[in-house]
Amino acid sequence: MMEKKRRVSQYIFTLLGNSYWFFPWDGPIYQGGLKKLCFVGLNCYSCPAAVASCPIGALQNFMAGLRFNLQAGSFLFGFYVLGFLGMVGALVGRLPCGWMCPFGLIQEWLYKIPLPKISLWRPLRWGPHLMLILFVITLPLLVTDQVGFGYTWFCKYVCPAGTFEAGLPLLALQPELRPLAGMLFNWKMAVLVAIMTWSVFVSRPFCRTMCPLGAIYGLMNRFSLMRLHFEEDACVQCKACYTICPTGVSFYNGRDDINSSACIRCLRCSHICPAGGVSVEFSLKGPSKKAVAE
Amino acid sequence: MRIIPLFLFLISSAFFVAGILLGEPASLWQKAVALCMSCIGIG
Repeated sequence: MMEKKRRVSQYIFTLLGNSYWFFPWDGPIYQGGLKKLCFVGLNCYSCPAAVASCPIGALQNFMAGLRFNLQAGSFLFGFYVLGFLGMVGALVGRLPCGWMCPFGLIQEWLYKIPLPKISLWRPLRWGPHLMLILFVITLPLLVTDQVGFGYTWFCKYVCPAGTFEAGLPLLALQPELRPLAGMLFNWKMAVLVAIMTWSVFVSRPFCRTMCPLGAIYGLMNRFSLMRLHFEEDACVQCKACYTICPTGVSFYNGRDDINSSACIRCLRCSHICPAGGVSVEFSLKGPSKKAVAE
Repeated sequence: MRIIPLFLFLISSAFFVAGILLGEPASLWQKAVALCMSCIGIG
């Protein structure tokens, strides 16, 4: 039942984020006021149907324009995007990854293809943090042209969501753009095909190894208002929580914290646990004195 | 009482409001509606 609700939520948010269906008549992309708002998941704002802005694209743009803006006396630091992500993260942590992100939904579809499944090499979990620090913040900030503008490195060289949601539809809709698709586009297609193929065999590989948005939300998993609680004494070591976890969080044996930054808060573990050992807390109240003493 | 989530939320809200006052939504809109071909790998 919970899984059904989650799936419905993923569809609703995918449709809400991409609800502009006049693009074949009105122009290549939506240009209305809603694009001042950030979407909660990774959803390219160059997608013809996108009505809101991708927070990672937005953050990179602020980083890329920071030097130029400061030289021009304009103090645009990206507080708006950071504040938005911080508010969402402080409330629910990485829940948008599991319940709202369109690209997460695509990877889950692909994982349903009945082929052998393999687990992910754990050190790759550091990938999202590396992407965030290097491709979203450092390179756009430091590598600039003569005028002082940086580049959106993650969008340009990595983001498969942009290729899938924007690059491919725009090339399909506008034949005059096709001669412009050169080596860079071939590279991005190779990344997209690699991620999509990987998604058939590994659960949510992009979210677990590359997504900088997941890295930001994930940092707040331990501190968010919403938290998961694991009752160790109730655990019967059946491993059902680990088997069903889409991101391989292994808290039943103490290897990971239940609020690890890898957890996308799909809440499957809380429903599969036969002993009721996993619960969801949404409260400002800390652990009771009795629980602490125990 | 868990202070950290409350503190995180309040400071994030302050950032969000500061961004609005600095005119960041308008700047974001300008970037988001001007189709950047190289950003999606075309051109």
